[in-house]
Amino acid sequence: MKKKSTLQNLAILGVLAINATTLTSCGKGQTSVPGMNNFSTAVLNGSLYVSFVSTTLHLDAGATIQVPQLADATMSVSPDIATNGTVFQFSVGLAALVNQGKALPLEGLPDGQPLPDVTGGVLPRWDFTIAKLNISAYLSSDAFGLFIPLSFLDLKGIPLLIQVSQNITDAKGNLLGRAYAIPSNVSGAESGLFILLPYLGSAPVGSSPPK
Amino acid sequence: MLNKKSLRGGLAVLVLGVSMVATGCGSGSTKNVVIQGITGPNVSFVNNTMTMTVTLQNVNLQFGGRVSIPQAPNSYLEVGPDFQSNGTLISLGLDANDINSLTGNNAHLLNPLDLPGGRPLPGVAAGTMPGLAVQIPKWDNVTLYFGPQVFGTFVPVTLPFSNFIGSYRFYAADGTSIGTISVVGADAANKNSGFLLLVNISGKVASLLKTAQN
Repeated sequence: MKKKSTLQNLAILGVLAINATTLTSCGKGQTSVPGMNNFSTAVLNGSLYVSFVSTTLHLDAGATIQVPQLADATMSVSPDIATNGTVFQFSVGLAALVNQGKALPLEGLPDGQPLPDVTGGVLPRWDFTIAKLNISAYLSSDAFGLFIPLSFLDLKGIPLLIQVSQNITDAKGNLLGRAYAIPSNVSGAESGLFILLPYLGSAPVGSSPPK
Repeated sequence: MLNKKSLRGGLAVLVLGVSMVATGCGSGSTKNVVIQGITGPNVSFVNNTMTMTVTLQNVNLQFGGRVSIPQAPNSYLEVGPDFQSNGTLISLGLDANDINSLTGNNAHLLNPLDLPGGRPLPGVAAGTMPGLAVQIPKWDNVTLYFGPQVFGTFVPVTLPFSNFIGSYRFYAADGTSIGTISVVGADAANKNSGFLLLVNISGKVASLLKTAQN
């Protein structure tokens, strides 16, 4: 087990730590969420799968690991085979979404701001750390959310000042969720990407086919 | 599935020995990572066939053979001893016409597949690609993937770690990005480890395929 842990830590430390910092030095294209596209969500083998591509981040190496203490969940940061960007992938078992075996605290964003487009601004939150990257997953019977600390710059290299969002749709244009670029607040808390996927009952509203 | 003690030591070093080169922006280093225990992957185009080879230096097979690929009548997958390294050579030969018939607009003819065992394909935004499995005697299924712009193969090999996948971009000699190779550790069931090789068949590879057909 020590060997596995060492392997994982070495790779993830390199990839995710680099990712968390180098996105701040990139910035081209001003889409709804700067530097991000190809948002995708699907149900694969009983797991909710969420992915997006960072177009400005170029990595020659990446890693996929199991999310600590969260059953059936994996997080991946890998070179995009289709472009020179980087694919972020998150997969979590549907059962784990609503049954963690213990009550999760109702929380907003990590910096205390309310969750956008969520009544009351809070959802049950599961925090975990991969290397030094603090990631929050929101697990409830109403919605799934994911917050990844990232920085966004515009074409002039100026940090994002306002929150922007982008719909996540399937191939037929059905709305599956929304991605938000959250800027730093006045206290200097981390900016990041927040993905919100509302669904009804125990299954997501819809799923997008492979693109 | 291969289960060689000699493989364990070599592959334990394999991931540790990978030099992880990452750049923030631009086109990257265009240098291939070095994965100890593996030579390649190498991609070449000869006689209308795209050939991909990978040598596992620390794996010694007592058998070898060539099998045909369903729906790709002019293509093959071959596994056998590599006499140069005393390891195992995995060679995949894909006829240009077969590739064209299974990729592009025809990719939807195959069922979408993820990694064996159900994990999403790393580096593929959708997590799946159209694919099919090829049965190799005395071995597990080898999975082939045919997407609109990407071709790939998963080769099952026992690896000494689990719940971890390392993915690395690789380049042609002229610095053109060809694809990625992933070292896939065992899943939660302690199965389904191996190597995943994905080749982007647009751009440079597409032009080479076109040339091969002419």
